[in-house]
Amino acid sequence: MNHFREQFPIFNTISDPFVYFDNASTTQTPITVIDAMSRYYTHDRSNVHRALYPLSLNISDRFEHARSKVQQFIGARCPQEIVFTKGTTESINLVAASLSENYFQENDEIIVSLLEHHSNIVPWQVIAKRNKLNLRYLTVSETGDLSMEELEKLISPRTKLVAVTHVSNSLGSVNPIHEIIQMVKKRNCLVLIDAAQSIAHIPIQVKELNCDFLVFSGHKMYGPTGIGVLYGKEEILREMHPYQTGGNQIRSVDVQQTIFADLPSRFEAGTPNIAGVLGLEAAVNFITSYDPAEIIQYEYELTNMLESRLSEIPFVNIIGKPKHRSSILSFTVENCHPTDVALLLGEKGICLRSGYHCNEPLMNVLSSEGIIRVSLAPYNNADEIRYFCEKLIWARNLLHRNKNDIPSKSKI
Amino acid sequence: MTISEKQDLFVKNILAITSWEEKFEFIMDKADSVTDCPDDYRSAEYLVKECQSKLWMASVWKDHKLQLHFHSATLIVRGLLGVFYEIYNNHTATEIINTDFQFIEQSELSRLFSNRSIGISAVLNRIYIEAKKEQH
Repeated sequence: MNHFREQFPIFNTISDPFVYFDNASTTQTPITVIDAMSRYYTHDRSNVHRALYPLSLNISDRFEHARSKVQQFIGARCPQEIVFTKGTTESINLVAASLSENYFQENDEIIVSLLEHHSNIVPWQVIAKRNKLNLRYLTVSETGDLSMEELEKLISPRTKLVAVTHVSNSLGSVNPIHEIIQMVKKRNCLVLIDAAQSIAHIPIQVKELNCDFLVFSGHKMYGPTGIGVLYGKEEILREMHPYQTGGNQIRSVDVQQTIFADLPSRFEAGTPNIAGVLGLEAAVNFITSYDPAEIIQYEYELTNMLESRLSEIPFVNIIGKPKHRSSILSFTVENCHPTDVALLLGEKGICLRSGYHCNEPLMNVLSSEGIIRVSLAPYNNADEIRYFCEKLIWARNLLHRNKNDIPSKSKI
Repeated sequence: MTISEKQDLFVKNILAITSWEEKFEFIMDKADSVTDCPDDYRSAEYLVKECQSKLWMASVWKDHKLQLHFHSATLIVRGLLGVFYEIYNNHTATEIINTDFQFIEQSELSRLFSNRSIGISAVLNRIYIEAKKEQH
């Protein structure tokens, strides 16, 4: 995938060694996305949806074109189902806050899985506390998989919403969201899918999936930071209260009351992140210019190589063995703290994450000292994996000269 | 030795080391200086940061001199804490307040010491705040 890597200027601007294995945190940015954002600031800068001069009319048109592009990308029915947000976290907060106004009743239940990122736990915890709801957790097997049988038992007549991630940000497990959505819909609950870790790697069509909400961030799909998407079924969004209020989301205001604008504006209070939206459109164009089957195959082979190389290193414990793994793999190193390993690898130009990965409920089950995570993208290659494994052994040897033993064996 | 003299000595020693690998080894060797937090102090009240790794800090004043206790399972963090221990332990609040933190920048290790995610900068702030409280 050299042609893929060539699109990212950063690989020519940072001197070697530069091995970027932190794609689950944020991906790098291709030149087309940088150009789209830069063009807005150098040629098109004006506000959207307000003024009547050509510059503003044109940028408003392009802004809405970007919305249609996102709609087509995820197979939504209409652009009104696409709400621009700051990112996945804000998208989930929007849904949680809005539904807490009039959807839930006392003692209703919300189900999330233990694989969730904090952004798909905390907003539900907060509204559960405020509205006297019960938050229930779907557990994770030793392999890192969710159990459909357990979910079936967990859904009760009081369950009103199930929020689950498509791909685990720490274990890389690809959850069977088709089956999950089917099961949840049969029980007449709403279902929210966190697609932050899958959107750049797995093609998603929301109409086919039949989820009620799907959320993702631009910066994990080669787009800008500070831009994200909430997809919601039109008929559900129409019933929901605005999350934030103010300019851009109203139809009329008098001193007594406000009539809110139609979808999607009613959920987009204030001046939006215009450059971010244009950058997101460029990121969608970038992803769709590649054959998804080629991306999936390449990432699969690279992740398999990583797993196989790491399995050969005796002091490495790979965490979990999910039925389907994305390009994320986590591990611990015996008798070495993940933070030490990550700091040393960083000095050798290897960028990866250590710690709890905004996933503390899961980490409490897996490893009390956190884990080390490698997350790959198509611009990574086999040479980088070989270099990484070599430096991992170096880091362990450097740390192991000291007798600071800590328990690092994971429980799964 | 005064705090300033200790800071200068640390800067001199670390700058004399040219390779990053050896700098890390030098820092990791400092881990042995740290006196562990007694178990009583391993509570939320004394937890400085738990984003990347858990770090506890307890400080008591004995004869108006600071007695530091740390706990971190992370060798490099413990080494960085060891540097603070060597510099600030057993000094008075006035001595601590009257010195600055220039040694961090001078040591060219500010990306480690100032790293929010490992909590080291928060430890330095706490030492300073504790000294301020003690002085009053």
